[in-house]
Formats: sequence, structure tokens, C-alpha cells
Amino acid sequence: MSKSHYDTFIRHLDEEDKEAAVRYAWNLLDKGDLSVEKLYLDFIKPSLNNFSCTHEDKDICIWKEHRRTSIIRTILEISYFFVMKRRQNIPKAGQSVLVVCPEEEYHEIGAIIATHFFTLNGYDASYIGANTPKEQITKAVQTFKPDLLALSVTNYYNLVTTKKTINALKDAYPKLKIVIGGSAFHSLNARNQLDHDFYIDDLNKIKTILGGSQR
Amino acid sequence: MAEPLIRLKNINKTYNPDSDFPTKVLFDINLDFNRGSFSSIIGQSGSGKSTLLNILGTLDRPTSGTISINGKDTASMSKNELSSLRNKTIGFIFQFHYLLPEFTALENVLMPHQISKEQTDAEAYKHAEELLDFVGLTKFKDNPANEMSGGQQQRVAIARSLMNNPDIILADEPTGNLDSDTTETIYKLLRDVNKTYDTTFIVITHDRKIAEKTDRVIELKDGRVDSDFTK
Amino acid sequence: MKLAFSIAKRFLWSGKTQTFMIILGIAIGVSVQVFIGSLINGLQDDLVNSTIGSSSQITVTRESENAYINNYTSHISTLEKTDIPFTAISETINLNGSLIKNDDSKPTLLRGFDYGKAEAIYGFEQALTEGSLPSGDNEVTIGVLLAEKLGLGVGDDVTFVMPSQTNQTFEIVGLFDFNIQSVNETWSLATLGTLRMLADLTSNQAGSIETQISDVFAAEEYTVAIKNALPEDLSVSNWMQENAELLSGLNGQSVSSIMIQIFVMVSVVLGISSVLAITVLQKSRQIGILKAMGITDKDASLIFLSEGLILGVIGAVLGVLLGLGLGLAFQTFAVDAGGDPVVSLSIDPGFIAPSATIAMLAAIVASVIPARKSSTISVIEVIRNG
Repeated sequence: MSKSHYDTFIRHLDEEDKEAAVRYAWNLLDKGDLSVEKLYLDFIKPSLNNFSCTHEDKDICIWKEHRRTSIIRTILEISYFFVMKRRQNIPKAGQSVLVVCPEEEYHEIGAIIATHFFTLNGYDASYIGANTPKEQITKAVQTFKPDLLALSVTNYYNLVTTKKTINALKDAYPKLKIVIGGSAFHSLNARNQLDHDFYIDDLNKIKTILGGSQR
Repeated sequence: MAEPLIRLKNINKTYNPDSDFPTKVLFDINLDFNRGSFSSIIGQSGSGKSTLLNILGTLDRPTSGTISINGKDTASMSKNELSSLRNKTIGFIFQFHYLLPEFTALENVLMPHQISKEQTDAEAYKHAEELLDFVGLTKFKDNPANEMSGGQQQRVAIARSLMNNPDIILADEPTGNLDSDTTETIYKLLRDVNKTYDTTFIVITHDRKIAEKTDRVIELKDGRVDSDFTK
Repeated sequence: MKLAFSIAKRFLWSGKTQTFMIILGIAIGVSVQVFIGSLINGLQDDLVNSTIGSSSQITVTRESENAYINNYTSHISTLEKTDIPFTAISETINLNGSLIKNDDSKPTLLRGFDYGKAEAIYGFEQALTEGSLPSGDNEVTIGVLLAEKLGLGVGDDVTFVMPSQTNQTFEIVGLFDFNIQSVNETWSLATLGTLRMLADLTSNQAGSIETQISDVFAAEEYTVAIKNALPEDLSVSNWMQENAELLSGLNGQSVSSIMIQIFVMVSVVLGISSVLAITVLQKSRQIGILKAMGITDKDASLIFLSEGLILGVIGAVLGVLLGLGLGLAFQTFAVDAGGDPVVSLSIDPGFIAPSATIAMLAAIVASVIPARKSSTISVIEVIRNG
């Protein structure tokens, strides 16, 4: 991977040329020039985090951001093909994980990426969706009986519901391990108020969960 | 770290403590608010958030516990001292605007100044007019308060709360009965004040659009601080 | 204070109809007071005037009956030296007898005056209906009814008869009408000289000294002063001793007038305080807002006291004007056949000013309760019920 690859990728996104961007990403993965992990962490993550809009009108910025997110989402979907290809060669971890965004949390790119990372680490990983109410999450846990539940939260305001969700889950399933990740958890003050088992600030750390080193 | 602007220590509040049915609404509240911070208090109705705001605003006294404002314990202050503290240090914005309908927009804005008994000189008028300009209502300054729209009245109320350059602004559902566009305008205005004057804001709101933009979200549940998240 | 006053003004102005009604209420109360008070005072003045206006109010006589005052001129100068506000002092001599014409005889009280002095008491000139007052010996002016009964007129002769005295013939030079039946039926007027001659008196003797005073209701205390100033053998009487019934009637009127005024005042006070109490409720929201902004309880109370003051002053001034207007209308339209007012009102600033002042004070007192109530208004209640 090189800087020029990234620049080309970003140029396609800036031009909002969906076809070019998706094709370019596919080719990089297909030729083996880029791993799925690197695409996620070094291309997609900065492309979203560094999105800057100089437009006077804030409303224009908002739809432009949504447009970019939609292109990224398609790239994520096609990248799953490469995740499936690699999974056959990865030893099973023997653990299952449910990834979910709590109620009112609509930022799901991170959650989808995390699900793919879990899969690439040998987990039986399922992504439920964005904006999932506490009751639905509890039902899903009841049905799937996962070993881990991963909550992805971007907007710090959603920590309020996140806390309620975690408390409900811990009450019902004391053995369930809770994993938290997302920009809402940057503050230690926030993490301290949440009854969690693992905090993932770097997706590469997912492999350490199996080792059992908590928090 | 500097002393917080407001410090609540072990605040308890019981209504009708001597009756057969005392109602305890606040339990051991401990909160600090720093100068220039912009916090929101959320919680279901009956969670005690309005009571907490009233205690913060010295409109109500806690059954036990202390509130210090600028390092000064309010429990030892007389009624008149509290009036003066409210007049000079605290600005209130309520859901129902609470303008004096008998007065014009400009007169309403001037009122806190007149209450402070300082001479209402040209400078005070100028300041009031600047504030009305700040909230975008210069054209309406001589309109009777009761002939303005809800959003306009709320903007007058904000200008009024700023008249004596208070350290703290307490707002109880400031956008509670406004449409979403007006809500956005009002929020931006409050943020502007917060940045321009370094005014400390504590806002009760059930509007998540407002709450998620504040720097700190405190959730009250059954009279206790259930969560307290800072951005 | 200035702030409270300007807020009060604005509160009152914002509820114009209500404010107008309270002011009207006070004004009507005050106007009724002013009108009724002036009317009753006028009635009393009329009554007093018609009863004792044309008679002696304090009279000096000899202690023993049928005795004459000696040296009366020195007594008159003694009286004039006192600080009693006499409006008239006049000596008089009276003789009882009969007037006879042909076979007809009527009892009469023959009275001798110095008409120059006594005019101030009796107003003879105005009472004269025909002819003139007696000026020489053997001239007499008699009451119209007496003349009618005897069938006499001006220019006729008449004989005056006293028991055990020689008869004296008079020429009738005039007739008078004092509007009082008993006087018109019995009085005959002659000169002091004529009377002295008939009674056989010296020029320094008189039957009694009659006076009038400017303050008729002080007659009792002046009587005491006069008694102290004159020799002991003289007796002093006054109109009050002789008109006890009139006095109690006047007292009754005064008391009823005061009662009316008290009740009017009480209703004004109740009216103002109940309306202001409602105002506190109406304005509790505003008071709550002002308190949140830091107004002190004292200033909040002052708002309502100021309202009372403003209402009281405007109401009282309007009430006085309205009362005077009513009085003027009454005097213009309630007139007798001759075009004179039925009752002449007594417009007394010394009565109206206290009435107006009391109304103002009442308005302020009435606002004390709502003012106190305002300090109990809690901001939280207002916000909660907002």
C-alpha cells in the first residue's frame, strides 16, 4: 500500500464518483495490494474522520457526508466477499459475538467494520444493526446466546441509553462479556460509569480479548 | 484545578417533611459545574430535575446539603442577599418565557438592571439594545411582549437573562414549546452566549437534539444522578 | 420605590377597565360623602339659621324677675372688651300688654330697640312689609297677623293697655312679617324712649342685653365667660338652653351623617382591598418573574401599595369633583317655587379635604393586605403552575 493509492481513493470520494471508488477498492483487495484490515483502518477510517467541508452552508455538508457514507457502505459490503474468502483459512476461536448500536445510534460504519474484524479473528460474529432498542438487544442475546456483546457508540449522548442497556443485559445475563468501542468512549469518566469487560480503542486489539486481558 | 463555579454537596430535598406523607425528591446530589461549561440535565418528569434547577437558582432551599456559588455558601445568605445574588449572578430562562406582558421587549430586557437599583442610564439602554440586537430583535424592541411570537418572546427572555452579565444561566426547557427550527435558533443563540461571554449554562431539556450538543449530560432518575457523561 | 411605582402604574394601565372601575368605585364613595356631608351641613345651617338666626343667642337679664339692668352701657362695653366674637350687641326693653281697637283686644309684647344696633340680630328692614320702623314717641310697628286680627293698617291709631297703668295711644307706622306666626301675632315694636317712658326708666336702664355670636354652637362656653365678666346680680341665658330639642335633632343628624360616611368608607375599603387581592392573584405570575429576577419582597409589596396610592389619589380627586358637581346640580335643579334651592349646600373645604384624605389613606390601608400577600408568592409555585 502506498500514499498514492490512498490519494486516488480519496479523490474518487471527493468527486463522489461511487463507481470509480468501489471499483478501485475492489481492485486493490483483489490484487492483494491491500488487506481488508488496512482498507478499513488506513483508508475508510481516515476518509470519514478527515472529512472536512468548507461549505458555508452546513446543511450541504451534512448531505455530502451522508453521500460519502453511502459509498463507503457499498465498499464495506463488497469487502465482505474478501472476508469470507479469508475466513476459511482462519482457525475458529470457538466464541460468538453480537455487534450492535444502541437505540438512537445511527453511526454504524464502525460497528460493521468491528464485526468484520471479529470474523477475521475467528469469531462467530453477527451484526444486528443501528438504532437497536434495549429490549431488542436483550431478545437477540436470549436467542443467540453469544459469549460477547459489542456495543458501538459514536454520539456521547447515547451513553445514557448505553448504560441502561448494559445494566439490563448484566442483570439478565451476568456471564455475558460486554465490549465497548467507538468515539463516545474516549473519556475515562464515561468508561468508568459503564459496567464493561473490554474496551476496544484499536480494532487490532480484538485479538487480545481471547487472551482474556480485560479493560 | 480551579474551584468550580457551582458546587452541590449532598443535596437532599423533601417536600412537606413534617407531614404524614413527606415526599423526598432529591437524594444526595453531588455535582460541580465549572465556569464556562454547558451542561444539560435530562430525566423523566418527576425525576427531580426542576427541583434541582430551582435549588441551583436559589429559588428553593435544600432540606439538607450545601450549594456554593462562587465559593460562597448560599445557606448563610438572607432572603435579600439571595435576591441580589439572583439579580446579579444568575439568569433564568423558562419554558414559558415569562416576560412581563405589560412591558415592551426593551423594558423587559432592562428590568433586571432596574431591579438592581442602579441608575438606568444611557449605557444601560445601550446594553439592552445590544442584547436585543444579539438575539436579532432590534426591530421589535418597542413591541409589547405579549404581541410577539413564542420564539421571539424566548429570545427576549434570553436577552433579559443576559442583562446583568450573569455568571450562570439556568434554563428549564428553554425550547419546550417551540418548533424544531426555532429550537435550533435558540440553541445556537445559547451556545453563542456561552462562547462570547463565557457564561455557564445548565439546561434542563427533554429534547435530545439539544442535549446531545451540550458538553455534559446529567441524567436524574428518581431523584438521584443516574449518569453523568462529559463529551 | 421608583421601580415599584412605575411597575404599579403599568399594571394599572394594562387593566384599564378594571382600574377604571375601582377608581369609579372610590370616586362614587367619596362623592356620596362630599354630597351627603354638604347636604346635611347645609340642612343644619338652614335649620339653625331659621331657628335662632333672628333672635338673641345669648341674653343678659337681671337675676330677679321684672327687674331692670342698671348702668347697662358699662356692661355692654365690658362685653365688647371680652374676646367673644359677638356679631351684635343690643339692649332692649319689653312690656306685656294688650292692643285695643274699638272693642277688640289682643295681647301683645311691646318691644323697644335701638334699631341701629338690633338690625344685626333681627333684620327688621327686611321684615318690613309696609311703612317704616318706629322713630318717634308713640309710634309703633306691629306684626302683620296682629294688624289683620285687629283690622288695622298703617296710619291707624291703636291703644296699648297695661294692667294698672295709663293707656297709651300709638300711631301704627309700619307692619312686619318675620315668617314666624307667634311673632307676627304678638310683637309690637316701639322706640327705646317710648318703652322707657312707659316703664318709667332712666336712660341708663334696660330690660335685657341681647347678643349674637359668630359660632352659635359655642354659646354655652361663652355664657360662662360672660357670667364671669358681669356682676353677680345679672343672669345670662343662651339659645341652647332654650332649644334642647333642636340641639338633639342636630346631633342626631350629625351622627347619622358620620354613620353614612363611615359605611361609605368601609365599603370603599372593602372594595379596594378585594379588587387588589384579586390583582395580586392576577399578577402573581409577574411577581414570580420579578422575584426570579431578584426583586426584593419589600419592593414587590411596594408595587401594591403604590397601586393603592394611585387609585386613592385619583379616586379621591375625581370623587370630590363629582360630589361638588352633584351638589351644583342639586342646587340648580332642586329649587322651590321662588327659584331658591330647597336646601342650600354648605361647601366646606374643612370637611371635604379630610374626606378626600381619609379616602386616600383608606385606599393605601386597603392595599396593605394584598401587599403583604405578594411577599408570600413563591417563584416555584408560579413556574410550576405556569
